[in-house]
Amino acid sequence: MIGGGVTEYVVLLIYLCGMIGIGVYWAKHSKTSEDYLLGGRKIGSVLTALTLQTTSMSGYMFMGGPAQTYKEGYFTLWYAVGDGGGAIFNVGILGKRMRRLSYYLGCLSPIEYIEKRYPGPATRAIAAAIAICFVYGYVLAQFLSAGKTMCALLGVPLPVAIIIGAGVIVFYTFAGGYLAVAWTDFIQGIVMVCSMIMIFVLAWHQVGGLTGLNEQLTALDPTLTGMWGKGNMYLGQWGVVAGAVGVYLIGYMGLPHVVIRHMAMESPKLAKQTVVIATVWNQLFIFVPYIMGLMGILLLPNIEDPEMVVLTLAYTLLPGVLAAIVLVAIMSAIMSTADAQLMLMGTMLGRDIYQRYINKNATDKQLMSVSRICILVVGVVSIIIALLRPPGVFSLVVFSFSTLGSSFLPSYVGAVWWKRGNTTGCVASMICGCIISIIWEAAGLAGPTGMHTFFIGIIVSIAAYIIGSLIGKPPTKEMQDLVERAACKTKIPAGLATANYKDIAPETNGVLTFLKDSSYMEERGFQPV
Amino acid sequence: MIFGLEPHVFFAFLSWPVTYTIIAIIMYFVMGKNDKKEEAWEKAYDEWQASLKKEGGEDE
Repeated sequence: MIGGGVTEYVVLLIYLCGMIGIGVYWAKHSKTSEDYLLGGRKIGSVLTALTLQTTSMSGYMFMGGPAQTYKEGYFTLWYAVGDGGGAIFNVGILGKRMRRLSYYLGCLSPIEYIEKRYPGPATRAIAAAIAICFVYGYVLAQFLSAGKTMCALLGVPLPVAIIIGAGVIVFYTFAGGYLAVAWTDFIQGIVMVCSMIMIFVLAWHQVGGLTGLNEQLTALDPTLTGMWGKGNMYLGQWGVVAGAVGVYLIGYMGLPHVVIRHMAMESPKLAKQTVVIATVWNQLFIFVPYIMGLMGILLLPNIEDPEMVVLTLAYTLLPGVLAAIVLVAIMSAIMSTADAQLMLMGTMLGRDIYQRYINKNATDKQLMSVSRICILVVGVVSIIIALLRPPGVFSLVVFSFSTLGSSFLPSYVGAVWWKRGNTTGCVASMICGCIISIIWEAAGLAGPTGMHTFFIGIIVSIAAYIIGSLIGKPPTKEMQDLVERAACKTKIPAGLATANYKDIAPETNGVLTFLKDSSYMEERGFQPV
Repeated sequence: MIFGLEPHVFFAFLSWPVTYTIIAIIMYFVMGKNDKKEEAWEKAYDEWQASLKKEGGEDE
């Protein structure tokens, strides 16, 4: 136990009450199912960027990441290299087009989006089954993490910690829906990055800056500052490096609880601000904890549990209240991921199962109520299972990321970038990606072959998508037109296309618009333009 | 040596924060430029669809 004083309890209590308050506030503002499930598609660029990134980053960044660099040296930064550019790929490739297409198709969930883009009886059933199964595994693991973190840091008994930590997440997600999730993510994102920078600046000063850090590490063990890990344990393993970088560089485009953020953007035009904000936030939050793991080698050479590096540094370098805020930041990282997954579970069970298979004529109010009940039920069941602590939950989450990414990435990307992508390709890619990931992980083939589960999963999944799409029946003309429209590539008659083009001076455009006003023309006996 | 690291190690790991930030800023301007084109396209598309509907209505 590191914390456990009155200050920690008070700071944590204020934080948890704040989260509950946000849930209560937004509960009053969610009037339609679109408000509740997608924030009424009115989420601005700052909120989108932070909810996108905090959802992607879990408590791993405070504990697992720094622990790895503490043990393996600079090599672990390959993961940071991939993660740091994740937002550029995710928002740049999917952002605008997915926002437009999901709007044109009238989708409220990422699974419904898959079904409408790739129509067919099997599409939604397979997509929903994979997503529900693996996202649920994630939710369970995050609840356990929240409980274990509170237990380890404050000395609260684990069952109490799980009930409090997970209970707050369930409450604000249940009450406020997507808007509560987005706003709590926003606050959590700020707490996370500020805490990280606070400790980093002080630790930076202690080790004598970056040059001091690297020179001392090299003096200790030159392989720590090399490219292949401590003792050159990964020497020449470029497959492992490619997997480590690739997983996080492109993997997020396959996670339903992450890509739903694109659908909730207020306008496709916000994608450009979102890229910048998310990328800058990434550089501050992702590289810093890994480097702090390296600083820990020098400042805390005898630490028993390397996962506690960041927290121990906080308690060593910061005064009481600020160190307690770091505790809150760790909880924030876990909660911001868990709430998004819980929200997605409610969305999928309400929209994709209840409205699709049980009550096709469900009203807006019914859908919202059912989604709320589903969030509550999933949350309570998860808390009960987490209290029982079944074995294998953590091993499930290890490959949940790879399986979700491999199953959905080609379908999400192909949906907006390849109009020929069709139902056969989508179904083949989901089945092949999911099965190969499970087999690879279950058989433990990643070690002997030097091929990361995600790496092999995504290759097979992409191949299945392309082959299936080429063999299967092309999408309807209407669907192909919609994909082109989402990309703004439909050929418009030349006269109309040039009438509004940017090269025309604003004044000329204004005159044209004025002349095109039919009432003005009609009054003077002319036909409208 | 760059900041106490071999140059290739430095560029492999620590050059990325600056590189990604620069790429994101470039993307901001490129996407902004495309936004203008897309806005004009969307307006033209809506007008085109409206004119098609009007023609369809007249045919009926």
